Amino acid sequence: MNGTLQGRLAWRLGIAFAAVILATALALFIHRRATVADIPSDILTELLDHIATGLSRGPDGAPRLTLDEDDGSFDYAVTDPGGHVLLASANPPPAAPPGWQSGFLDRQESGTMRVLGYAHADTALGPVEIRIAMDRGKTAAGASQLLRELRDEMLPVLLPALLAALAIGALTLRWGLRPLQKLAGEAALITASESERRLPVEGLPRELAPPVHAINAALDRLDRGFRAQRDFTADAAHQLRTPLAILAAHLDTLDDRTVAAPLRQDVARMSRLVDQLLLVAELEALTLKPDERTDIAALGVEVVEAVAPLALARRRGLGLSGAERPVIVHGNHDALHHALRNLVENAVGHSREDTTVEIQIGDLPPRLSVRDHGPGVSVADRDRLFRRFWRGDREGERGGVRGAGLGLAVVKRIADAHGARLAITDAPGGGAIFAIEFPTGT
Amino acid sequence: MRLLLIEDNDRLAGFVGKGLGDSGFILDRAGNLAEADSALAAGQFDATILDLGLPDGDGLEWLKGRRTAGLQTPVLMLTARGATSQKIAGLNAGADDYLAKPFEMAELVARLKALLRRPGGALSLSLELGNIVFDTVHRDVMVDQKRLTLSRSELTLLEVLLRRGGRVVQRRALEEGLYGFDDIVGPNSLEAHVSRLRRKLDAAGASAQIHTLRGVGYILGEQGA
Repeated sequence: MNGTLQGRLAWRLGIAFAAVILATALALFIHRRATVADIPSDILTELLDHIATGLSRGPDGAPRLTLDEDDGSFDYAVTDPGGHVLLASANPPPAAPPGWQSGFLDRQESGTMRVLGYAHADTALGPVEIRIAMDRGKTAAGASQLLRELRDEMLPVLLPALLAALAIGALTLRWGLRPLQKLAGEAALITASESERRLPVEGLPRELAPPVHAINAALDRLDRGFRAQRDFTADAAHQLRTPLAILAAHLDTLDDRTVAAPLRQDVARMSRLVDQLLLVAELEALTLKPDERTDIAALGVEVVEAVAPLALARRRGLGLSGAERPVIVHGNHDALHHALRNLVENAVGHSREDTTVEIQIGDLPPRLSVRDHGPGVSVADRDRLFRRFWRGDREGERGGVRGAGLGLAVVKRIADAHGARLAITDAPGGGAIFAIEFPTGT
Repeated sequence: MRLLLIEDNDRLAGFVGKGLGDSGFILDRAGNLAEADSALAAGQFDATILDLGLPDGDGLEWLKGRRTAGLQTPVLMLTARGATSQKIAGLNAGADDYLAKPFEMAELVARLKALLRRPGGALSLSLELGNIVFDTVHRDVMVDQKRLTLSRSELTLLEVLLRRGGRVVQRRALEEGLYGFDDIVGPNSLEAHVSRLRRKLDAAGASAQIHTLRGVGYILGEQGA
């Protein structure tokens, strides 16, 4: 993931690790290379010792040099104290500069650098001077060998070390960032229905406390506004419905029915509008608790019972199918009741007389559908139907059962809160089907 | 019929009193729970209309207490809160019915009459809907003032439907009502009995008909023109 804190830190740490390890390898390489090119004096000393012990006299009395290993990488000469050469290789080193007894020196000789070593020793040949010379050029072969060494010896150690460092770095990061993940989990639990919940500050690294406190303070401010709105909704319900009840009761007891009846209808429309506005306000805050369950089959029966008197008064029948067995969904009973009732009342309003509105409860996936026998819904109107206060012509034509076009917006909102889809389709043989389709596995 | 109205709003109480008076009820009014307590202590009421939000307490809590203390009178609850869960809470607290504000006077009257028709209710001796009159003592049915002869099982069906007058009766409730009649067996016999009763009511010129709500049950009601 690009852009995450963990990702960014991982990248930077990874690059730092790789750079450190590469630098170490490079330093080792350079050091080894320098050591080889600059023939160490202990090798020369050893070689001088070697020659001293390897000297002997043959059966014929002639001086002899026996070496365990002579790879021809050096030249030598052995002289007696008088300066006579007893033994020498093909290109013997020159005599030591005047005043030199023993030691090493570099010398430029016809384009190549030679290292010369001198020592005096008591040997089987008596006291002798031993001279050796090593060609620096001869050690150049060591460079390619060094590369080989690097590949065969250093990489097998360094690469796993690099990988281990990266893995440990990644784990440490995840470990270290765990408080952030926990915070995210806690934040996800803060919903409208649990708006008093806050992010926990205990157990957080000290660096995280200030932003978490700031976020909690922001949530406090939002919650105050939210609470005010909720209280308003509850108050408004009472404040609006009581005067409407008085008005309705007054009109119902007036003797002049010709005046009272149309006014009474206005009050009924107004009441419905108030109900719906309050409902919308309530629904704005509707969130499902994780354990909320509703049996939509039982819901179907309830809604048929509730709407039946109205339907019969308007000469429309109601039929329910699929409600023989419970169909349980993750959902809010009151809200779903409202949604289904809205759809059924709508269907009754739009159906022709002496037809039956069919309510069907589906299982797998759970589904509530309502089929009417009305003019249907044109494709162009389907989206607009869900907008608040929008009224389709078909409502106007039929005299309008319901005052405001809030109904379907409310149904849509309820479906959304349940993660459900509100679908409108044409019914075979005319009319429309409104369906609330729940997600599978609810 | 004497009713007790527990309502703190004077104007609403006044209009409801007038409306119920026009329908032949005698109404006593209590403006708060304390007055309600003394009214119930002083006299007998056939039903009580209870508003939930009262100045000296919550009507729901009060009702719970009164029910525990043995109050038998049917109670119809009035409330400004309309949610279904509120309704369930009300019924659980011991209310017999529930009406959300604002309500229609005609509906209030109908609900009260239905309450009084319930077993033990003041009107339970005779059940009426439209021109159908059911005498529960002699188990006689009059339609349009003419006697209608029904079988025992049909009488039981009609009684159950009338007691829920104008509201849905679930199949299960009807089947339970008929339980014990030998002639009620298989799943279709309820339909057969209902359709026989329906035909007899129609033939007698009853103003209310039995309507089938497929998948749910039946409703006896007067259909709009």
